[in-house]
Amino acid sequence: MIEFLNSNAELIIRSVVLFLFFLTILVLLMAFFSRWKLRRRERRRTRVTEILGERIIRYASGDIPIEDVQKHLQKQQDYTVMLEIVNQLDQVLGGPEKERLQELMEVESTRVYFENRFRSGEPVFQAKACLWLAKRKSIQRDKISELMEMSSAGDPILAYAASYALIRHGSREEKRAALRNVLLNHRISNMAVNDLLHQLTLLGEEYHRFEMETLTQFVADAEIPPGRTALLIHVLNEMEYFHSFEFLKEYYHNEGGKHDSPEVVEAIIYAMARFGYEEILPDLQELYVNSKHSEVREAAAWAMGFFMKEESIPFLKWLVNDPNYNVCYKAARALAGYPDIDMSRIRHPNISDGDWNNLTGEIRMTEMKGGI
Amino acid sequence: MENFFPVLVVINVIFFLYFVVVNGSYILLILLSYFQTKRSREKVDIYELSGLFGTNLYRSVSILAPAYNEEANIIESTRALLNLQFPDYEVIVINDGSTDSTLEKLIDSFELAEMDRHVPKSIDCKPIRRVYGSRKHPNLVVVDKENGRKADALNAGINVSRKELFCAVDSDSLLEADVLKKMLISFMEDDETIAVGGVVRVANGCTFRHGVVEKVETPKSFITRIQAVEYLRSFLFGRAGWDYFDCLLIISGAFGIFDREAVIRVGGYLHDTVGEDMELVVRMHRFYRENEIPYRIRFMPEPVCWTEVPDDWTTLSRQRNRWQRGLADTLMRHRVMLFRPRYGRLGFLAMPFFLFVELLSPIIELFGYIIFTVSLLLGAINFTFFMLYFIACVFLGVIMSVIAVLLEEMTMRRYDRMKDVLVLVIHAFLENFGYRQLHAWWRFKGLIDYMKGRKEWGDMARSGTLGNKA
Repeated sequence: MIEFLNSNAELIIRSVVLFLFFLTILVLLMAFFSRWKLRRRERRRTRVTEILGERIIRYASGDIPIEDVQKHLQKQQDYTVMLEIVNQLDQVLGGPEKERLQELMEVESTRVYFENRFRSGEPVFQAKACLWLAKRKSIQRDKISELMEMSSAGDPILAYAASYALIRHGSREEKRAALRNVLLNHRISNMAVNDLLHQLTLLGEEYHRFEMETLTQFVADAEIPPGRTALLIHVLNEMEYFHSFEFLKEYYHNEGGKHDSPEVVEAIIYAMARFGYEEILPDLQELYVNSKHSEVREAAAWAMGFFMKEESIPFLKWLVNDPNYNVCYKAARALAGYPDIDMSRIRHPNISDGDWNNLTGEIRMTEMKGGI
Repeated sequence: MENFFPVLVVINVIFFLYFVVVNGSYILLILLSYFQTKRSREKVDIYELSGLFGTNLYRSVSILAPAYNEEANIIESTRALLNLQFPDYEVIVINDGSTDSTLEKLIDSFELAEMDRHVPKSIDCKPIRRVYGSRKHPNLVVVDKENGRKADALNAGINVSRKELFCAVDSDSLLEADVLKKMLISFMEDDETIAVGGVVRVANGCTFRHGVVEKVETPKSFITRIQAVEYLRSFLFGRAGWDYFDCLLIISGAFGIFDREAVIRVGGYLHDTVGEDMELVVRMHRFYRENEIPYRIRFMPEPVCWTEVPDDWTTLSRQRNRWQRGLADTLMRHRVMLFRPRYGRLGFLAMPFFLFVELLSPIIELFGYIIFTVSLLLGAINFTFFMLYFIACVFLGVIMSVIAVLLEEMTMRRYDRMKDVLVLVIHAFLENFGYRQLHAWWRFKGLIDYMKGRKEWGDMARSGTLGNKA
């Protein structure tokens, strides 16, 4: 080996250098070529964005016919730009302007472009095609079954986008089925699920009765993981779907109130309190104040402060000494809400006087700002 | 003397093999970075995000900006942080016992007033003297604390913070307006994400107005231009490549978003290390792996943070010395992760790479120069071979730097003028003559200093680039 290297070292290194030399030249040429190409594409994109932006806005306002937009759709890039512009406008436009935008999605060339992406088998492309479908006025029935299949795809982006399209175009049952697929897909984050739930609530069907029923149905679904159940309860609470109160009350007594998952218990405590269910107070004082889960104790402190009943004061004073800061803060906050309580006289053996002063000062300031 | 020739040849062969392995792995990282960057870019506009902001069910962010003697940049960088496009975030500037007028400037510019804020001691940190709120910006909090270095300041910021995520930034850095929104995508893609790093770019030479980058140009001096190439290389094919393997070991201290609870869980930033950013990330990997908790630590190639880099040789040498000490310290602390199956790819791929390639490379490189020169002087190799070998190294260096510049073109395309790209390519070539050797020497000294137990940071002079006006 050494002998070989000794006699051929120069040849080897010469070959390596020669190879690297050509590679360097190649990389340099490619770099300049691709820069030239990229810049050309970028310049064209800027130009197309300007032209299409102006045309689409004018078309949506009814100033120009659809053909005036259509004639500017020449390359693949143009369709992507158009979808971006439509996505932006979709969020701010309504009425006939929005309808015209949807008609733009129906143009033959647009349809062919996204149809090809829909069939590409590449999840990201398929997801973008799903978003295009979501923007259309209506879609064919055969697409619905494909979307349904995609909504249970392993790839979270594809499942998200397919469900998004189904929420826009599916029947009630299909919407429910798609959402259920998403709720069962552990690879889709809670934030993405929340995004979809928000889309559902935007539909506003029958004064939100459909959305509310859908969400409550999922809360009762034993197969839905507890984390998602907690999210659903939070959404019912956040969206102030008061019609769900009877269901949640029943759920609280039958299951939610003693659920193994602290996330579910926490969510139901907040919801019950927000919906004004005072009968929860004995449970707050007897059961949840001593929960081993800090999030449950924290919710209990908040809920007691929300109802502001005299009998909760000793429990809140107890929670002020909780080892968990958030529980202590919520309890102190709740106590500060009582008109007759002098915060400086509350015993706080686990908190130094200086820290207690800061805590109560902060609470005073937040209240002045109107924070919750 | 000729009896030593076979030994010298064997050593040279070992160096050559090391050279091949190191550069081979870099080329592999480049390829993976390309695919990872492309994939990441395609995904970015899928999620609507609009739905999230309609309710209180999304994750909010505290931006933590530790500041120690940052009077040159502090106002401009804080103003930029207050102008980000994100619906629910707070900015916490932590004045880490500055001896200059950092705090006074903040008080005057943002109309700060002392406020009560209870700070739970979730993580150990030096005492907090006062907490200030701003009359002009309700989401600005300034914490004045005793000096305890950057890690301690960040820990104080974590204690003060009330949001689910925190974004650690340097006070001499500027975030682009939409970075938080873009970074949130990673947390949205996967609930198990506990930390995300973004791209840090060199701000020197650029023009900023009201905290927004107005004109992107390459830096003016040789030393900063070289660093611009280094940063591109490090972020665009170093970190993106490691992200492909889910093995990201570093999230730059200048810019990264973390799940607050996850960081508290592992004990926050370490005080007694100079590489607290890397150490935290490695400790998080270790903790989550050891406790078998699913998690992800990601890199997003698009969101950009601009940072001022040293423009004098002394400061740069100190910074590189510190980085090397930080790397050595982290690898030593977590050496148990090396080649252990429970740490998966981290133990068999990322940690060995950082040990043999990043940590030991200055020793091998400098030793290589000596052995090569000795071999040349003793006649074990001839001059032609010596030169060819050197040229091969230069070509490889140039190829990788040019590809990094190319990746920049394909991803962020911030440099608008052909001249800027040419400048970067030329400096990618020039860095091989002198700078590379000097850099190896600084890092070698860093290793020696680490072994001597040196733990100080060294001063960083600021030129106030981020405060310049068009």
